[in-house]
This record gives sequence, C-alpha cells and structure tokens, in this order.
Amino acid sequence: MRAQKGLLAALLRWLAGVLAAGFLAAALLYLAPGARVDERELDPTLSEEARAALRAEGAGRGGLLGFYVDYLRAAVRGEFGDSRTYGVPVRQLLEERWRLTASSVLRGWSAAWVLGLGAALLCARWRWSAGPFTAASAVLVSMPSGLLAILFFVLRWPVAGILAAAVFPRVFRYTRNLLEAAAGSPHCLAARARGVSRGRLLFFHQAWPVWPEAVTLAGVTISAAIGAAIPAEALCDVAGLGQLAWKSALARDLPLLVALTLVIAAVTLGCNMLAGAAASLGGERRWRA
Amino acid sequence: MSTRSVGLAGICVMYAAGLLAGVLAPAGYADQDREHPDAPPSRAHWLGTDELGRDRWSRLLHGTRVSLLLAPAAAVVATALAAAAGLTAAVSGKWTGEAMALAFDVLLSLPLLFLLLALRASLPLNVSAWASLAITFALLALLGWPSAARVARAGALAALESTFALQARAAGIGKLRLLAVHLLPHLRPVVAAQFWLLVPAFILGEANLGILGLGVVEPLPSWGSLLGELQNLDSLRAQPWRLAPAAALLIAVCCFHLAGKTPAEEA
Amino acid sequence: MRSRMIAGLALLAAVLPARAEELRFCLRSDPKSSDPLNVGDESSETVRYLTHGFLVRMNRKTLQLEPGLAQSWRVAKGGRAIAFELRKGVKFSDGTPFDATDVEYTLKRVTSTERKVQSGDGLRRDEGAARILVSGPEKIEITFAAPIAGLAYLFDEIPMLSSRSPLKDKAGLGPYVLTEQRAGDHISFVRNRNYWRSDEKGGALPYFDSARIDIQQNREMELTRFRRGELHFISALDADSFERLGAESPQSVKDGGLSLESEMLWFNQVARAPIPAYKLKWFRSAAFRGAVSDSIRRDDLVRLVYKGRAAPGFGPFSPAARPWSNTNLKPLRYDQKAALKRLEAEGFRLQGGVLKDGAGNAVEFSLVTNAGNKNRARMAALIEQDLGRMGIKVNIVPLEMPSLLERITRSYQYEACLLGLVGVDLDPNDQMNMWLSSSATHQWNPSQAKPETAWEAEIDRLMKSQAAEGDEKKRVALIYKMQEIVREQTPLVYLVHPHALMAVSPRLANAQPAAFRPRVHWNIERLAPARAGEMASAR
Repeated sequence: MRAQKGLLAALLRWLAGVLAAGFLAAALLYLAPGARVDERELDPTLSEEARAALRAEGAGRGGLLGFYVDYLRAAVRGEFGDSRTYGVPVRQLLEERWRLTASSVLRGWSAAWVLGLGAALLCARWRWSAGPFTAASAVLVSMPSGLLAILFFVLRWPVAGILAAAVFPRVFRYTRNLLEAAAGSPHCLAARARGVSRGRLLFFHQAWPVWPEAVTLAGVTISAAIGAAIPAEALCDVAGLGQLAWKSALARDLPLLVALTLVIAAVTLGCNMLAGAAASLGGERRWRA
Repeated sequence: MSTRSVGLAGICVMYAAGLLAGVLAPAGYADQDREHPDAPPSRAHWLGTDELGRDRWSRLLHGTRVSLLLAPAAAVVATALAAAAGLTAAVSGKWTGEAMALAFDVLLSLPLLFLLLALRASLPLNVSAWASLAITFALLALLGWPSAARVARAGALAALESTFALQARAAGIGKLRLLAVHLLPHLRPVVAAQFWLLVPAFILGEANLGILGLGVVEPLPSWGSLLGELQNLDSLRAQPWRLAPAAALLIAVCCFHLAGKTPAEEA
Repeated sequence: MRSRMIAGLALLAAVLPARAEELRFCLRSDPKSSDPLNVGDESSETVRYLTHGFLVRMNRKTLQLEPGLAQSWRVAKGGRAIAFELRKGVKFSDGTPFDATDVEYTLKRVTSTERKVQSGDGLRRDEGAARILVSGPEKIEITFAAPIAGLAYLFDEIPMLSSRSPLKDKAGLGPYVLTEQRAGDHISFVRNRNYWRSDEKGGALPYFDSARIDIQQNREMELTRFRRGELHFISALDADSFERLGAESPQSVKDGGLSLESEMLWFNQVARAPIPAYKLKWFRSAAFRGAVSDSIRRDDLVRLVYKGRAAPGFGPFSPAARPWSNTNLKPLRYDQKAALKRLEAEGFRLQGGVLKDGAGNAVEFSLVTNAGNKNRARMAALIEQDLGRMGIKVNIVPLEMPSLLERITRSYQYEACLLGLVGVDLDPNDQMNMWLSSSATHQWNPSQAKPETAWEAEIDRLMKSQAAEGDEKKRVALIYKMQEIVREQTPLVYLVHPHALMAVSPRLANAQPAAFRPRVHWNIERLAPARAGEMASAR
C-alpha cells in the first residue's frame, strides 16, 4: 500500500513537471519577440493580399492559457496541431524522427558509459593509466558542443559519437571519483588487508557497492545526452528531434516546440525519477545488508 | 606541487595576460589594417591578422579579458542563486521542498538556449558592446543555476541528517540560523565545486553563442567570437595559428577544472 | 575467359546510358507551400520548377524567352493581348492530356480577383478582368483591359494545371514527379514518364532518372558534402567558400558574374517609431543619409568581405540588370570631405572627434542585422570603423531573424538595419512592392496611407507608369528617372552587389550556371551524369 502511494506520488510529480515544462515553453514563445512574424513577410515579390494573410495567421492566436488547455486536450487524443515551419502535422514529424534521435542518444550514452566506466575501472586498477583518459576528458569537456559537432561531421563520425564525447567526461570523472572514494572506505581496506586479489577488490568491493550512485548518474547522463543532441543534430543537419527543437525555437513554431518540450521533459524527468527510485532502492538494500 | 596549484597558477597567468591586454597587445582589438587581411604570423602580427586585417594576438588577449572577467562574475551570481534556492528547498517543509526540486527539474528540461535568445532580443539596442556582453553573461547566470541548485539541495539534505544538524535542531535552533550558521559553512566545498564547474560552463556557453553568431557584438572579441572562425575547419590545415583561441579555451577550462578539485579528489 | 567477361561488362557499361545515377543537391529550408499557384519562397519555387510546366521559359544565360508548352506566342494590341499556340500530344504526369482548356482553367484561377493567388500577380489589373478566348485545342488568346509591361515574361512563372486530372494540382508537366517528402530532411523525385520534351536526337528527357533534394541549412556542411561527391551542385556559395573550394578544385567553382542581389542598409523613418525625435530628424534628412553613404568605403567591403567577387553598391538595379540599370549615374564613391560638407550644411558639427547635431546631440545609432551571417557581421564592422572616422558611433546588434523582423515590420524599435535583397526577376516590377509607399515592404517607412514626401509620391507615379507601359524604351526612361531620385534621396544605402557564386561537380554535364535564379538547375531536364552528358554532346 505504501509502495503504491509512493508510486502514485512519483507519477503525479512527473506529470506536474511535464505539464509545467510545456506551459513554460508555450509562455516563452508567446512572449518572445518575433512570435507572430513570418519570415516571408519580408519578400517584396509577395502580394499585399498574401502578406495580409500571413499577418492574420500570426495574429490569430488566442490567449496563452486557452491555447495551452486546448493544446493539451488535443494532445491527449494524440494530436499536437500543425507545425508552422514544416506545414505538416507535428505528430507526423515526431513519428518520423523519434527513432533516429532515440537511437543516437542510446548509442552515444551506451558508448560513453562503456568507455567512461571502462576507463575509470582501468584507472582504479592501474593508477598510472589515468593520464591519457584525464587528458581526453579535459579536451572533450573544453570543446564547445558546436565545435565538436562540426569536427565530427568533417570526420564522418555519427551523431552518437558527439553525444558519447559530450557524456564521456562526466561518466569518467564521476565514476572515477566514486571508485576512488570507495577504495578508501573501511571495508575495502579490510578486504585488502585480508589479501583479496586486486581484480576481486576492484569489482566486488569498490565497484559493486557504488551502483546506486552510478544509477543516479546514469539517469542524469541520459538527460545530458538528450540536451547534447539538440546542438549536435542542428549543426550536423541530422533530421532528428534535436534538429526539430532547434529549428522550432528559432522559427517560433509554437505547436512543435511545446510538443517537443513535453516529450523531452517527459523523458528527462522520467529518467531522473527512475534513477532516483533505483538508487533509493539500492540504498535501502545496502542498508539492510 | 598539487594539480590544484597548477590550475590556480594557470588561471593567474591567464588573468594577468587578460588584464594587461592593453599593455601586451601590439594593437587595439578593433584596429583594422585593411591592406593586410588574412596575413600569416609575422614579427608585427604574431598570430597573423583576420579577414579585416585585425591583429589576432591582440584580439586573443582582449578576448581573454572579456571571457575570463565575466564568466567568473556570472558564476558567482549563479552559485549564489543556486545555494540560496538549494538550501531553501532543503530546509523548507516537505511539500515546498519537493515543489522546488520539481521546479529545478522543470527548468532543466526547458530549451534554455532559446530562452537566452529571446531575453537577449528583448533588450534595448543602444547599449555598448561591453554592456551587451555583461548582459549576456548575466542572462547565462540567471539561467544556469538550477543544476547547481539540485546539487546544493542534495548536499543540504544529507547534511541535515548528520549529527551536528540533528543536535542543532534538537536544541531548537530556528531555520534561518540553522541555514546560515550550520549548513552553509558545511556546504562550502560543495558550493565552491559548483562555482568551479560553472565558470568553464559559462565560458563554453558564451563560446557556443559566438559560434551561432549571437555572442559578443562586433568589434569586441571574446573567445566565443574568435572560435566562430574555426567553423572553416578545412582552412585550419593551411592556417593552424587560427587554433590559438581554441588552445586558450582548452587551457583555461582545464585550469578551472584542476582548480576546482577538492583535496579529497586530489588525494 | 574472365578477361573477356570483364571487357564485355565494360562495353555494356559504356553503351548503356548512365541513367541510374540520382541528381542530388540541397535547399536551405523546406518548401513553405505545396500549392503551385502560391509559391513565395525559393524552396517551393524549386520544387515547382521540377514538377510543373510553363508556357514559356526564360533562358537564364541569354535572358531570352524560349518555347515551353507553347511552341509560339505573339504579343499584340500594344501589350494588351497575347496569343499562344500550344504543343500537340502533351500529357500531364498522370497521363491526362493537356490542351488549351487547361491553360484557360489555370489563367482563370490566376486572374481571379476573388481568390487571389501569388502567381501572375502582374496579370491582375484594376482596370478590369482579362478575356480568355480558346479558339482550338492548341490555340488560346488572352486580352487584358490595359497594356502590361513585359507581358510574355510573366508567363514564365505561371505553372499550367490540369482541369481534368483526378490528381488535380498534383498532376504536373515538369520533368519530375514528387514521390516522397520528409519535412526537414529530403524531397525525392522520379522522372516524369510523360514528360513532353526530348533532346535534339529525340532522346527522352530528363537524363537523370531520379532527383533528391536534401534540406541542409548549414552551408559548411553543404560544402563538405559537395567535396565528398555527395552533391552535384551548390547554387549559392559565399565568397570564402568559393575561394577555398576554388583553391583545391578550380574546375568546380563557377562565378556567374554580378547577380541581382544587393546588400544595403537603411534608416528607420517611421514617424510613429519609438525612437528619439532628434534621431528621427537625422534619419529623415537626405543629407544625413547621403553623408553616411559617402562615408562608407565600398571598395573595402568588396575586397575584404567578398574577396573581390562583388561590385560596389550602385542602386536599385545592379549593373548586371541591363537595360534597367541607369548607366548615366556615377558609381558611389567614398568621399569623406563631401560627406562632412553635406552634414555641416544641415547643422552637424565635428567636435573633438564626435559628430554632433545642431542641438548638440552626439550622433550615435544602433545597426541591427541578422545573426549568423558572417558577411554582414564583417560589413557591419567595416562600416562601424568608416563611420567612426566621421565621428559617428555605431552599435552593431545581431538579432535572430524573428526578433529582427518583429522590430522592422511591427514595433519599429530599431534605428538602422543592414540586410540584403534577393532579386529573382530582372523586370523592375519585381521591386514594385519595395518602392510603392503604400507597401508593407517599403522598408524605411512602410504602409503609408498616402506618400509622406514628394519624392516618394514621384517614385510611386514612376513605378505605376512603367508597369502599364508597353514600350520598353519608355519604361527604361521611367526607371532611369526613378533611380535618379533614389540616388538623390538615398532611402536605401546600397553597399554591394555580390556575384552569383556556384559550385558544379565535374560529374555533372550540360550545366550552364547563370547569374539569375535558379542558377544551376534552370535547365534541369538537360543536366546529366558526366558520361551521359558526353554521350549527349557527342550525338
């Protein structure tokens, strides 16, 4: 019963967060300069009638709250309106593109974790090996994501690579810190004193106990990978959700940006929630143990 | 010499170079030698000139001043906001705390770059380049605090469970006093770490805006606006000296990360 | 045995036309409209170019009209009427036959004043409706209430639609048929099997079996993909990219010469604009605007920003726009002394390196431009320094496009703006909406109820007169006069006219890059893979 209540509370929290994020995105667009302007209005070859029609289209929106309520009602039915930038239903755009971004994010995130955790384990086992990984991490963390995207495109590396490069330094740095902190803990010192082999010490005494923190980090890094996908896809012109988010923001495409914010908020808040739940579960188990 | 000291020394050298830009730079950042555009490095122009004939070395020095002065200032503001919000969320009641934590998460899931663009576009036009830059960093500060606030809240919640906090609460100390006298000093390392993380984040944020053409206003240079040139990656093979701003940024960010290491991390 | 087989395969490959290849190029944005009669952006125009047919087409190299679906035409009654003789046996992409009733159907939609469409705006006249007379399956004559300048050229932008096809407007007479469109990603086409045009030897056109347009906003990425051989051409290169590509592959870059484009700046002259009254007074002074124009070193803009691949700003018509460009006018030259003299005559004084107006206000203004455009950022930096020498302080403000548009079309919260004008058509009517004081794109002071100045009233008169003038010489004289007024009043400070810079892969044959849009694919049906192209030219 208590678990069910907790789950319900978490779900309500998640829903409130998603709805608030969508509303804030809509409000932002409503208030932003240029929200009711169409770039085509500047075309001198456009007839006055066509220009007036564009202006009427831009000015035709009602109040913010009314818009958002109507939008959510339609969203429940799976309709998100038509994109102003692309002239097609937002739902169609989301359906066409989510796989590409999801695949990039998952591949990039997985690669970052394999490399980051692997490097951290190597560094924990052989301290002298830390130099190259630390240097690589420092270089990657110092690169503006825009520059990273251009570099990857020129080298013909996939967008997943950019995401991996953006997430790797965090994974490496935090997991290394966790492992090093665990190495100094009493149970590790005791195990070492008992003559436990170095490999066993690393995997069962250093790495295993820190998994709840690692799970929390996993949730946070998924959000980071999604965040990095926006500039990466935009600069590499990859037709994913990240590119959509970028273009819709620049073009003040209200239905599209609100839909994307809802999707991104749902995923990031969901990941954080699941990671938090897993971590607390892990914490409880460890405590009981 | 500890890595932290190396980082701090590097930062000091870069600050000195930036602050003395007026003395060290052989030319003004806006001076155009229109007869010698795109010149290679020479005795007169150590890093050559840009497409408008401006001395790259001078612009790099002035850009260093711009980026290194404003990013830490913005980080101070953001860290203060984060600490205040994080600690308040931690010591408030359960519902308020949860609501604030949710607000941090919501803010983190918003398209902040767009928010930055929209706010910047609403500003008055007739402001000097320096003022415009200061506003840009101020906006970065106003938008960049939620992630640090999450960390501060988590740290404060953990601290609240510790013995000293329990004893203080048992002694009937008020929330404000608990916050200011007991929690804040205890969380100083956590907050300081956030500051050292935010400085390079803001330098990179400005650099990203520069790459998009929305950073510092011409003719004032910053590392971001200078990095914008690197989009022509193929020209770098022929003119590798163009990489100087990227190298400066790399060194600075590394120095800030090293300086931000806690003694425990170093050990 | 094996070597014989290889030789046989090689022979087979040489004999078979190389149709398998796909024509690939990029557009910067998605088409905004799928209605062929309401096309206002370059991307929609390109798609329409591929999928629809036109009665006549302008050869972008010679600037002469060539027969399209009409094998001949005749302008009569002093520019009031035009008669077409159509080709026989032409079919739409779905097999529906094409004849004069389809032309009548299309023109009725175009000239309708009830549901106005964007195509053929110049054919709709206030004087009365057009009369359309079909005198046979291949003969049609259209008579207008008043003469229309450049009448035949207007049919170069009117796509012919089917009155009977079940596919309605989707049935086209162009070389390709649209098969797939993924917003923000790509648009695919296949060859129209019913395409009416064939090459000189009777071979079917187009040469490419399919075409794919990728939506690519980032110019650097487009250039990189071209280098990799993923694209056949790039229609618009900036001078930097042109130089870089030219250095490594000189045969790939094409300088089409002066384009119809202009880069310019203007001052906000809107009376209700929320700017200080003393600034509005400067901006409304022809002497101030002229002095700013005289203070800009246009040669430096050309040399440093455009690497020499542009001409200094001249006026509304670049020197390429013959016969409309007024060659009697002197080129705009940097003359700081003359500029100061003009300003002093208006009460301005240069004191301690700062220019002040009669009331002692230091002359300072903000210059907005669109963010992310390298050339405009550089031009702004050069102008800032040029005007600084005159004691004028310029604050450069890059804004992303929607914010910029909001300021220049709605709130008028700006002082000066640096932007470009993309000329599509050589005819002066293409600029009509920019010059009429009542128009929303009369940028410095739009949508005037009646002309606020005498010179704007005179420009209105000249533009309207030339639009109704059938005699080209008289039209030229009117346009020359209009340019004299523009030079004198300087509502727009013309900075440069860039060259049309393009990249065409050596793998593409029959390309005839031109300065006028569409620059490379105007003869898309004849573009061919290099091997097939060589075969075509050998035939």
